[in-house]
Amino acid sequence: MDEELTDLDLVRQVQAGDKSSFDLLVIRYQFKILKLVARYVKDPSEANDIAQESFIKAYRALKKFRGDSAFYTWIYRIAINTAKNHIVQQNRRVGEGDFEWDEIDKLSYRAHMRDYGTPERILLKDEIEHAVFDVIRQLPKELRTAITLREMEGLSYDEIAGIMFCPVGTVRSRIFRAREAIERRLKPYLE
Amino acid sequence: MDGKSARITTMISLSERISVLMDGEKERLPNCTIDIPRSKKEGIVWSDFHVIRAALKGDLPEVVNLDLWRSVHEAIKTDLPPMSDEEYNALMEYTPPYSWKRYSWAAAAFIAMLLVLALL
Repeated sequence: MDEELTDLDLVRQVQAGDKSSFDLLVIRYQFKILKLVARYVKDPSEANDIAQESFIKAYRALKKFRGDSAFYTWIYRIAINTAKNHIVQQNRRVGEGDFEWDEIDKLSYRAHMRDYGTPERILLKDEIEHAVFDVIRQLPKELRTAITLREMEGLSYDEIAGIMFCPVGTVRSRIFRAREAIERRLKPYLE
Repeated sequence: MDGKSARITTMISLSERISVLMDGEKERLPNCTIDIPRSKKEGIVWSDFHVIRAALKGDLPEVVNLDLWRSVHEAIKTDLPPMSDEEYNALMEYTPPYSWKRYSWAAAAFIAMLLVLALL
């Protein structure tokens, strides 16, 4: 819920004409959207293009977003429909006739089950994940607990403070120090 | 990402402020403006922290494209036309699964039969 409020802050800023706030929304959801699209489209560069197209469509339609639902729910739908439309159009180009939507779901699932990324890309993903979990294992217990409760359990600072018997300010600081430590280790992969 | 930097009136570092903002806990930033981070450096920290989040949640896709936001940023630099109502409605339209359509006539017939029985 808290995160939705922040999304809405960003959306309002974009609606008021601040384009740079949209960058922050894209950064926040680019992994989720790319992963979602990758369920429907086999080719990595196509998946990337569709994810990009989804964000651009969302930007163009943002004036119509009133905040009735969460921003992620909204862009999730845009991305799924963009991916499905892409599959339909591609299918028409090769002249295999029309698909029904649930056929697309089945085909996309099978495509996802096949080898998806190139070895280098899979390796990079694995290396990043390995590095993140490796640093977390080495963190002092307080930092490890705080970041785990926040990122993996999705608890609020108040809830974490209650569990760890410490002030909310301490939670804030522990989560940040954990992120800082992980980021230092990730720098070589992210630069 | 270029532009004015956020104003800070506390001893909390920019990176820590971003950490709090990405958790949606901005009320935990006392005496601090709630401007969104928008300098290049802050943008990188924001991006890196989200990579960590995605990795922890298992949300890193097979294609780790960390630059997707940059291409979107470039694309929206130009004045893109806002989406028309027609285009928007078509984009957001929910298409029911084929199986629904296939069996909808049977469901309609069943409901009609129940109505007839109720009237009798």
